Amino acid sequence: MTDSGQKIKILFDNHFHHLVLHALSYTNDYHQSEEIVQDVFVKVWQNYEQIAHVSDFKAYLYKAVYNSSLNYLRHLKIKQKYAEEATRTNDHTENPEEDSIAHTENNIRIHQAVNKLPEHWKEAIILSKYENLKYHEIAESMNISQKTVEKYISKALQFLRGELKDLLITVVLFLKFL
Amino acid sequence: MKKVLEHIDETLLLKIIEDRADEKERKRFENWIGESVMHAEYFEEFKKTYQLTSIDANAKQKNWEAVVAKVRSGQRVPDYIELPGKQPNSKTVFLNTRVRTAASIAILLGISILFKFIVFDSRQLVISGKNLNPKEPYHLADGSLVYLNGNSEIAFSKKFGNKERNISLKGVAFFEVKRNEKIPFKITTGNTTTQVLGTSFNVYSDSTGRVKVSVVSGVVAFYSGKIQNGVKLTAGEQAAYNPNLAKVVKEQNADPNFLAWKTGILYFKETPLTDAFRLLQKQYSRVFVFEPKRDGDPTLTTTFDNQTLEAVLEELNLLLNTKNSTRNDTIFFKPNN
Repeated sequence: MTDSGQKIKILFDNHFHHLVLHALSYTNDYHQSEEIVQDVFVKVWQNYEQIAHVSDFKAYLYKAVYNSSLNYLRHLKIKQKYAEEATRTNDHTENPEEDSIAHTENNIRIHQAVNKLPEHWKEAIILSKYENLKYHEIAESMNISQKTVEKYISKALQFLRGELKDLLITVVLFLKFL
Repeated sequence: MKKVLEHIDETLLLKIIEDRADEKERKRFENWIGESVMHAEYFEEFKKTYQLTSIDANAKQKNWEAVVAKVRSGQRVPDYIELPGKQPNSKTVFLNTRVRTAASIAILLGISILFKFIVFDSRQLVISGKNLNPKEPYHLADGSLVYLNGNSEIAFSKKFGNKERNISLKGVAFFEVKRNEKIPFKITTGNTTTQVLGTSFNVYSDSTGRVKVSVVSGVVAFYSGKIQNGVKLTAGEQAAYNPNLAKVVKEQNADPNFLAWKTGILYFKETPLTDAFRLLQKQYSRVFVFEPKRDGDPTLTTTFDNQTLEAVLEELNLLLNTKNSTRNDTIFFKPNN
């Protein structure tokens, strides 16, 4: 990999999940948020020479994701205006993928709930659940004790439990019937 | 619920789930969970949340591979991707008006052709909310009124009102039912039936099969399958049909804006701004963006009663201490300083 590629990989590793959640807070669409973050990195890579001088890359990436998410929403609005009429007439058709839609809807709900967490809890959850770090690694990264990390994670789970209550009922009962 | 939970430290539950608890902790946990069903239930939910939030660990790697593949193939990113300090390629992002008009004409033609292929049952009447103002009711033959939301639809027999009062509904509607004990008024939505004698209530259904009924006055029976399996709802009450459970469950009518689509009135009481903006976006067909996104989400407490967009913006600026600017369909709020 080229020198710029390596630098971009490091930025990607450090910020990917945060940026996706950032995009999600505007788009409400997790898959699309991943796409936006991917494409931002593609564009950064393609234009790396021109932007290599940027001093605060984290802020730069957040701003890029923010710009792109809002542009995407506008782009979507224009597309929807045309699509709306067409789908209305198709309303009668059954949706064969209802299950998978419900499934992705659940995932979106989970990500959105994570997005609502207070900053420290969210950071701990992202590092633990999205980045798969061990508690002692999270402690090091956040510069707090492992005990505090566990406190944050369990508080966050308690919060998420409240946010996702209706999903949980479904899942719990479902498992019992199996 | 809250009080019951004070007995256990959540980090202990975390340890149990991750199998890190020592013997003493395990004992404490077992005592606690044996105390009540509610504890067991709480633990189940906590554990489930733990599992639900375990995100696909490969997601990052997969996304990185996608980035590399896109860069290798020399693919152009979509025009809406905008790096700071660079202008977007506006020529392609925003179609100019003449192109737009041409496109919508083409689509309208396409729709009128499609319509010919949809065969309606000639004994049925289908009323679509598209052709109605949500504030103007549709008058049914029996004297009942229906307010339909934009993309909602009701269908009923041409003989409606004589021997039966059966309606099927797709979408959201508000009913004011004329009292008539002899002929029950029934609304079927997916798998559920709402039966009434004389009352007003809101029925909401979406494409996932979820149905919600909120009662404003009177008494309503809401059920799936047999009427005995349902719930009886009185004024102020709400129930939802959960398609996964195939069951009707009473719930708190927590959303004060459930009738906003009909009344045009929005109530906010310490509502997080992102939630408030989502409702305003629906009402005014604009994107609302609060700029200082990073330092927490402020809340909003006010009521908007069918105000013009200008009046709403003025009030928001006053409450949030902001100035707004508009770019295309998006309204940005920036703090005053």
